[in-house]
Amino acid sequence: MPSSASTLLPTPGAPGAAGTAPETRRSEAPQLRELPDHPWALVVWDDPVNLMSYVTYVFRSYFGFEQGEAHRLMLLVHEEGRAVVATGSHEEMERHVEAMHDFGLWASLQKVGG
Amino acid sequence: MRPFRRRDERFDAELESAEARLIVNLAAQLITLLRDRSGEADEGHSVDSEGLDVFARLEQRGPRSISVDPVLARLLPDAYRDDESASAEFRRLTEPGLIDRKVAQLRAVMADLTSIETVTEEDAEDLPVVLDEAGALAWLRALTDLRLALAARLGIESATPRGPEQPDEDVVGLLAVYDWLGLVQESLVAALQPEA
Repeated sequence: MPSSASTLLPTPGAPGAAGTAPETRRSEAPQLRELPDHPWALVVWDDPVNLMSYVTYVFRSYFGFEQGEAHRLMLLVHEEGRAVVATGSHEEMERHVEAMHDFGLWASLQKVGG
Repeated sequence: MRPFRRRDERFDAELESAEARLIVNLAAQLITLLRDRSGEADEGHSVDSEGLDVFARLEQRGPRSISVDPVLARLLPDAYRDDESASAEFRRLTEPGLIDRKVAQLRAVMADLTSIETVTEEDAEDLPVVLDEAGALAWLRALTDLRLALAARLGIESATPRGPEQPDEDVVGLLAVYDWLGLVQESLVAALQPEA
């Protein structure tokens, strides 16, 4: 999306932009990639042991989801075998993984789209 | 057993003393296994010889790396599925704390059960268990870990497990314990639901 990308570039001729070559910067899609604050995902995996009510309880009490959303995510884990339950920074997702392991849920983290 | 229910800010249930002893016994065994993993001897909780040494049996299985011990592999899973070195580093930083917290929860449950046993008549049928919210949360997590450990021990891989064609008595007994712990936990989760 070159047209929208270009709106993120410094105005040509603006102070400080003189030393950078617009062509090079425009080709750097990372300009956009740096914007999302959610590069990591917390994945919760289905297991045959944990009670559905317990998994819903954990999603509600730990993440603060409403009961309906917690239930929907639990079903997603159960039916799809896994679900992304949160996204965010690397440190944040590591904290969530550790918390899920405290609860006995089976969780891992991975890069979004990775 | 009478399942958990909420009474004001408390959660109460009744367990038969044999049921209470069973939970204490399993918790002690799991503590031994976890402490063994963290390289610390478990002080003051020798596993009594009554009942099955469910988790202790694993000790005969040679080196206890996470990958070969299904109970530990499930209780202390890898944080990165596709990155061994990141998982190892995460484990190095977080596993000791995770083990300490799991052990503390199991100990809290044991303490709750042994204190009611000593204050109640020896042959009393039903021992009252009364928990505050913090106690209920410790029980919830400890029951989860006990069920995960039993399931790993039993090789349960689906929600409706079918045992071997001719399961031995131990397996039948453990499956019954596993199911029963699920009932106890289910009642506690229900009791913890916010009141409508």
